[in-house]
Amino acid sequence: MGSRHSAQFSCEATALAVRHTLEELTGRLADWAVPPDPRVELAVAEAMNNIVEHAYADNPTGRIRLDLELLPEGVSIALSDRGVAMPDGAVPVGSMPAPETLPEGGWGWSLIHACCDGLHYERVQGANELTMVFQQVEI
Amino acid sequence: MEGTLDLTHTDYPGLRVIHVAAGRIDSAAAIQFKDQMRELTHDLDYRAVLDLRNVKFIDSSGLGAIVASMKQMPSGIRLDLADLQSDVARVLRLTRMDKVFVIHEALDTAVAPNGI
Repeated sequence: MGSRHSAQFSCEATALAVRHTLEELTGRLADWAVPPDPRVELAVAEAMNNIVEHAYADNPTGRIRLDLELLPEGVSIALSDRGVAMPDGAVPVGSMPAPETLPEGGWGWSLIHACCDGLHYERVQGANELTMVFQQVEI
Repeated sequence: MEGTLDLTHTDYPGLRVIHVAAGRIDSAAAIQFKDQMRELTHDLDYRAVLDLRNVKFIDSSGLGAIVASMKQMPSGIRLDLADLQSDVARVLRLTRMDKVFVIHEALDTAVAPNGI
């Protein structure tokens, strides 16, 4: 991979725009010959869906920015939005709902934690900034 | 507005196989998926199997829509899953929702006369 790569994407906070951004993201990683890691798309999808459904729940015109950076040890993805802050100002720990209750959701944060090697949240000047780091895994 | 998602079906004696043509069941497709599943299953009096061979990606919204589809089946009628691709299987495993479905490795075994 050698040289340092970075890219920025921006989209409106809708489910369909999130899908397109995920396709652009995975396309870019493939262009850079980063070995495919399915954890990336899943974690970023869950985090972006949370922004659409929670941070921007009352703001249909909100936007999401995604900063992608290739690190020597893997991939860093930072999501920024200007929606409401995370409850308690921190990333929810998340716990998997009990399967026998036949849940129809509530897995998001647990999946994010399971997929990332590093997770950092900050509220900066009215914006949420969530950074996820994925270390290169041997496929 | 929502992502296009086409469900088709093939009927066998005592079994309806529902094929997902789309490569993703995600947040943009979840509501449409659930609605189309209701149309295809609401009057079934035998088992259905969801053929997921084409699906490369699901997120928790997509998984929620599959669970909702199972819960809206007529009373006593099962919805099984078949032909899970690796990333879909991983989501089912991580969430432990692989425990609540009968999962067939391939469609053939789901369709076999005694493939209970």
